[in-house]
Amino acid sequence: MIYSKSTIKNIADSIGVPKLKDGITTAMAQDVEYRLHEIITEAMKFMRHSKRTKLTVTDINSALRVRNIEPIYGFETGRPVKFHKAESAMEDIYYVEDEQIDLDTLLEEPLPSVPLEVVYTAHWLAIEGVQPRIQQNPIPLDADNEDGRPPAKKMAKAQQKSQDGVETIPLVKHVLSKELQLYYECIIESLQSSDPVVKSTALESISIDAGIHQLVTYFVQYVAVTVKNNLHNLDALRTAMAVAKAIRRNPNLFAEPYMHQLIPSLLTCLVSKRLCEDYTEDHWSLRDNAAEQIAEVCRQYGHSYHTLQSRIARTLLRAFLDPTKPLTTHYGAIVGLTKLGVSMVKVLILPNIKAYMTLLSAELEKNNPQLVHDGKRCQEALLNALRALVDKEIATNEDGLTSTSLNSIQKGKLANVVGDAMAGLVFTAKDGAKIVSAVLSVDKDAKETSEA
Amino acid sequence: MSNKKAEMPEESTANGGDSNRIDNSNSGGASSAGAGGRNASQKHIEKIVLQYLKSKGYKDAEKALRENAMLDTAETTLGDLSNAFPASEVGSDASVPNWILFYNEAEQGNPDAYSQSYKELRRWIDNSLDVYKHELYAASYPIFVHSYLDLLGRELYEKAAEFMELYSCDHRVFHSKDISALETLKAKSHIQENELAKLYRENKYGVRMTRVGFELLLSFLQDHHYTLLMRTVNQHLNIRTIDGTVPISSEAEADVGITGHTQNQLDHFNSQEIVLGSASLDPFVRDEVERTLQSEAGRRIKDNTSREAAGMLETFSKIKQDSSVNGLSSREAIPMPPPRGIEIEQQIANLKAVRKRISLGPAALPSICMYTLHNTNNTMNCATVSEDLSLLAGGFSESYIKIWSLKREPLRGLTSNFYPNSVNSVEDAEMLREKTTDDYRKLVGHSGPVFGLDISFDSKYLISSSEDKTTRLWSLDTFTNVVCYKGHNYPIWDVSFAPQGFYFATASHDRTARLWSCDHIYALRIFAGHLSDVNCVRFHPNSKYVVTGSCDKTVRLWDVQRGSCVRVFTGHTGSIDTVAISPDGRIMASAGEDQTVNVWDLGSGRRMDTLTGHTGPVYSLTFSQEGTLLLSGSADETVRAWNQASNSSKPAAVSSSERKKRDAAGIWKSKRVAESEALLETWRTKSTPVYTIAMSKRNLGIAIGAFTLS
Repeated sequence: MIYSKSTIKNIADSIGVPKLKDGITTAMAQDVEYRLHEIITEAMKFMRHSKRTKLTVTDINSALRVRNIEPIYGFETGRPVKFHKAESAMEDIYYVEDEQIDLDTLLEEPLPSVPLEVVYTAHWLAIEGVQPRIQQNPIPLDADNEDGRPPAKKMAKAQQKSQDGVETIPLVKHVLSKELQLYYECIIESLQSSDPVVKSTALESISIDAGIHQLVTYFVQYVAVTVKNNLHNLDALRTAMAVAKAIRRNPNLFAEPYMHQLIPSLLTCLVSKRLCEDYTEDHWSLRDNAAEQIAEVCRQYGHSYHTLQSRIARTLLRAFLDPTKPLTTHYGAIVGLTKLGVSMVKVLILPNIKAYMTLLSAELEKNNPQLVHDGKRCQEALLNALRALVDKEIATNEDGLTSTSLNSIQKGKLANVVGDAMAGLVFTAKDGAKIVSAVLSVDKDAKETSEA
Repeated sequence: MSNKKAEMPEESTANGGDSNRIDNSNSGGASSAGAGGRNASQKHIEKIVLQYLKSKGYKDAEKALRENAMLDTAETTLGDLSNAFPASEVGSDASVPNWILFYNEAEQGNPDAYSQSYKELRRWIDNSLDVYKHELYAASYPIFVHSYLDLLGRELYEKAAEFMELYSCDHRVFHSKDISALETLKAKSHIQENELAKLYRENKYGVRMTRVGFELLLSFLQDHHYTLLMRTVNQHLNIRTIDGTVPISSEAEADVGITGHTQNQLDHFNSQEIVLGSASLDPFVRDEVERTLQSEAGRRIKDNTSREAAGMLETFSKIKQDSSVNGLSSREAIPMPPPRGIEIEQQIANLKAVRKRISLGPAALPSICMYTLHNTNNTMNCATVSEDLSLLAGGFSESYIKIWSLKREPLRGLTSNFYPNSVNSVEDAEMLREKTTDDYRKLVGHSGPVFGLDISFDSKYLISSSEDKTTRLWSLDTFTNVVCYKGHNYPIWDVSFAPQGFYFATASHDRTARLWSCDHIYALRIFAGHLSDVNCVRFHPNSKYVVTGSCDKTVRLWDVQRGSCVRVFTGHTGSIDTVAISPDGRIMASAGEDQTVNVWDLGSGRRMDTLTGHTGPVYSLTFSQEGTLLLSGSADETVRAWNQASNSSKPAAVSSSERKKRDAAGIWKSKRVAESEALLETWRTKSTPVYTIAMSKRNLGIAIGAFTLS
């Protein structure tokens, strides 16, 4: 029963019929329910003939009118009616909010704009039974998902051979047109070719083509698999990094969702122990490239993922401070941190240089040509890190020193901060004076803040 | 009463108790007027007992009671009663409590009581909710039969005949055979002789009802003290309450009707003869078309047009041959006004279209052009395109009609203020057109939402129907209202032009469909018979029949000339919102609220196929020109194509597999709908429910919908 006896009694009370007998209320309740049913059935007819699927107040009023009953005025709105729940301990009571309108302000308001004229547009829903993929038609992919039907041409990307004969099996299944499949195969082939022109053309295509969004996942996958399987093949790694860069650079692709898959590959190329067959090979530039890319990623997506930069910084710092890690890893960590910004250098590298230099000196003394080679690189990286401080300090125009004014006092001060070995290096550098002043001022600031 | 209790469901017991109380108090009140100081009800009971004793032949007991109770005045009354109620009627079936319970002196003595109470019952059923209408109608059939037999039994022959004449029409559709048999009974003695009457008298009639429906019926009979009918219900009906809804089925169910006796005679009703052939061409038009084509083809210079004309002539002769085989004779066809010349042009255009038509089938799906209307804010109710695809019209809740030119040409109407003398040529007439540059026009005239629209075959007239109970004819030359047709007393849901124009049919909330001609302001035919609103109406291609779909879940085919119903199609489980007939006139499709499309064979009245797949009410249906494809547009924002090519090879196949399909279709409520095999393709729109789907003469699909923000 929709209406309880008590409701009928309440209504009777409210219109001045104080005491209703039980029998009457029951009969009333039943009859009201029947009448309501009748009106709603009638209103549904109006709804259906208006080709709607939602019943509106207008429909109810039309139904009342057809039954020769006075319509209920004042409830017709253009919008669907919203019901609010009243706070009541006893039962759930719902009501329609009735806003108070100040007539004065209403009169002073500018007239509402005239509703838009009804217009028609024409498009092809189907051409010989095939729905063209135009803006006016819904995206078939969505339609398929919604429908739950297996898509007509479900072509999960077939197995893809990577350059070492390793199979790449895409994890995602979705419709991939024949053209896209061909394109993908062609691009991968070009990337593996030795001709730099072909390669660069392929990369350029990835970085500017608009219609390859569906392939992003495959390219990301390609990068990941290549990095994983070719840890000592510098060329392959370089290509992978270039692909990663191209994907990110392409303004038409939405690569953000794939960053979590891309970053591990980048980090691998940055801090991996060995990235080439022979230590004399120039894997350093690869690491620099990876560092640059990571920094770019942090800048690009840092605002939407607040923890991204701090997490990467933490990972790099751990690599930097771990004495058991090889020097190559240290180099990568230093470069990576440097690229992440001056503040990283100030907060994470500078306080640790002194301790690290002692470690590095010990390594250098081992007389292993590879270690010496790597150590030199690390020193350079550190020097570059310190150099990164300079620009900022010059900008603040605090430098009262020139290169000629370097003296032992400053060297002592510097050695306090960065250790003797590093201080020596700084002093031999061409722009040593600037670095010294920058480092000292940063150190001073740090001390002041810690004292404060 | 005890034996009744066993058969009736539990609720009826409680209700039976109620009726007991009400009846007694009532009859007591009735007799108290005549009795003096004696206890009225006491006397009343004595009277009944006396009557009972008399009827059973217990003379001594009767005499004793008479003496004791001193019922001197009772003699006359009882005499009447015994006339009205002979002993034979109170057979072994009638128990004493039944006799007492359902005794209403006023009714017993009144020879019109049956007629009156049945009339009231009928009216009440008519006004009841659509949900219960069908079961109540089904239950009223045995009541009708027994009332008739009772009247005969009481030797009120004239009354019986009158009763039969008045009310048999209600049940002819489902029980035509039985009614014609019962109609022949003319005397009391016939009841004993007639097998059918005996069958009804001696067996209980099974009826299935929902709980609520049953309660409604009982309380109606009790409240109005229709004890005669109540007695019939108690005595001759075996009512079984079921949960859910009672299907209107065309097949015999085990517990419905009298066991062993075929109750459902819909097939018999549907076997009435109908002529489905195509309409024959007017001889004048035929000759004229032939002449035109021949002169085109016979021209000296052989260019493309003449070659085309020759081809068209060939097609035309083929069509002519077909129509002479299958067509209607001139006697059968409905009268049409003399041709005006436009028919010839039309015929030639049709021939051209036939030659350029792309033949469609399961392997060759159509191209569909979608017209999307924007900024309608849910106010558009209906839409249509003209046959030549030059105009698009929409009917709106704000009482206006809007017409757009699909060629994006300005719609310039002829003005009415000119001097006839100044118009000497077509150019002059063209000069008189309005100077507007808009490619749309608003037609204002209705005073309620416009629910139905149709454009005549020659794109000269538009007809619209509205909630304001009127149908209006608009000229598309002047863009003005030409005629306003009044007749319906309730909103008009749909309107449709006949294929050759001139006639149109309307479907209304008043449960009737009506046939009109453009030159009469009153309806020529009223098609009455639907139990609820008539939602849609379409003409048969030969104009001899109209098909209507209704809220009562049935589709009916009406003979235009006789104005009578010739087919009833049952099987839908919801209101029917749209119907379509194949161009060859043999197959009909209907769909609506229940989201299924049913395909029917018009000849046999049987269902050929049930097409499921839509997930919203179906708004529109159309056949391809060859009838091989069926397109449907729905509220679920899709257009679907269904294979109909196989149907032509298996006409009217009703098998067990069909029944299975219907069972499977019973699970509409689940989100996923089992799709029929016949579903060839689904085209989705971008949040645009498809209001209308149409097929041009060249087999180009047209879909119209209003973009709705969810």
